[in-house]
Amino acid sequence: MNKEVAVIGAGMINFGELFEKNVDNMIEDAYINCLKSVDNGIDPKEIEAGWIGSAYEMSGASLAVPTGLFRIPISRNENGCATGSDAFRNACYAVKAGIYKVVLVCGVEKMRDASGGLIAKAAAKDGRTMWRSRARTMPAFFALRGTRHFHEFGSKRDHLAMISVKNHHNGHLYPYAHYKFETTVEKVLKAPIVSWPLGLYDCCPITDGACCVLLAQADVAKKYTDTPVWWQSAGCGIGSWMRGLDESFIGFPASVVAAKEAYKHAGITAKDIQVAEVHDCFTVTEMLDYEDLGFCKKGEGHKMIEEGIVNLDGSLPVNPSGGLIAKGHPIGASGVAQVAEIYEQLRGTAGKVQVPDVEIGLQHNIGLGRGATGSASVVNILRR
Amino acid sequence: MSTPPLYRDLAINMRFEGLKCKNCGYIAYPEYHRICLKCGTIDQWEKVKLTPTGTVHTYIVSYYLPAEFETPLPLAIVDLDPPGGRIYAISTETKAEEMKVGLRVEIDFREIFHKDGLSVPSFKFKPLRE
Repeated sequence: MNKEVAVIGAGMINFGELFEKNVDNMIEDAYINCLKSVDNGIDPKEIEAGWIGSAYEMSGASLAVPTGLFRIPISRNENGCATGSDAFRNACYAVKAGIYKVVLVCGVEKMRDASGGLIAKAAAKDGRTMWRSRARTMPAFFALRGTRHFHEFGSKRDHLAMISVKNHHNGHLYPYAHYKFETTVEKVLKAPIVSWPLGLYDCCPITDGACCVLLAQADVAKKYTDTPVWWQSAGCGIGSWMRGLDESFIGFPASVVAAKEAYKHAGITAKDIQVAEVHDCFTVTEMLDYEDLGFCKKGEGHKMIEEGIVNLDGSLPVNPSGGLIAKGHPIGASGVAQVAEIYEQLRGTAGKVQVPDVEIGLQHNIGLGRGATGSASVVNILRR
Repeated sequence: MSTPPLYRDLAINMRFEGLKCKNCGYIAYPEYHRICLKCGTIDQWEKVKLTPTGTVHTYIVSYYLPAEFETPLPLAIVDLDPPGGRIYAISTETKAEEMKVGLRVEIDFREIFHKDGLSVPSFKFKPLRE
């Protein structure tokens, strides 16, 4: 077990349509909640560096202004929808390298102010090349994997619906979720189709949100808390379906690479994971994640939900927070919020969505770039 | 989007030309690179004329798009017949009910949209009708 980098605090805000808050207001709230969450308290002067994960907010000033942290180095990190977990990953490396004793990681995104909507912007003429931009939407490029998975392995829309039902169930118990309602397989299947085979409830909402976590080196961590959570390892993988590999349409090779690296450096295998927060921008993404992260064999992802293994009371609960489907997906904040949830789970402070007595947890994000042809995946592993 | 990309992408949007890696046989289209995406070989390409027929590898049907697109719109990843190549394309003259993995299709060059008064053509697919 690695005891070099400790997570010593985490601060969430309610995710949702936060029309009354600007991006600074959201960061302020998450940051102050994070400071207050540290068991023995912390003086902001003890923070030596910062990372902000955001797809849209540029430069370290985006974090310095709402936190007042002007005397320290701050970097802005972007890696598609894996932005938040990549900011966290880079901050962990800096602490592990021994450069900084205490650092802050913030993830944030203001999604709901966009007037045109993400689909319209992406689908028409936003690409750098004409062929990439036309009719390209995020649901379309994840759904393409669903159709092929159905064809090769016999999975069905019903399986995707079961993932939606599970995540909405968890989300309705999770205090910070954007959507707090339960649903049924029938309702999910009857909802309007967005990108066949994905319907409305197969898709995450457009959500505002922010989250902060604090990290500390082992020698100072005890000063802040008696029950830190130890970051074990990270992995990052990059892919592109344009490489012509058939694996790219039944999963994400980038996630396989990221998971492999993370397991290797943590000295564990997928079988050791007891709770996971994984990327479920769409239900199909979560089904593919089960396979790519090694929770089951390739082609058996739908059996994980069919058999209830990934339910809150299953043997490997996935997305106890409701995932992006129910909690929401404010891009830069999503990964940091997943880390925050694993932190609470491992400390036993996850409330109504607590998985009993878990010791090792995994966090995973995947995002698309280059007009949805490329992908970036990040995995972090935490342990108490 | 500015107009220089239209000029740069003429070969892609007006001609069905690909590059074939002499080492691994990978077909680069509709993006050209010096380094092969599949095997990493540098500068070992030969120009090939692509075949405008192929097979649907996977597909979706898009129901929500900006007004300039007719919906429901089938989109597909198409594996081109030899010498090969894999493309993402939107459909034309294709009904949602017709779509299936393995569907035989042909490639047509059509106007995609107008940009600053210029008509921008590129490839679309439609079911191969004998």
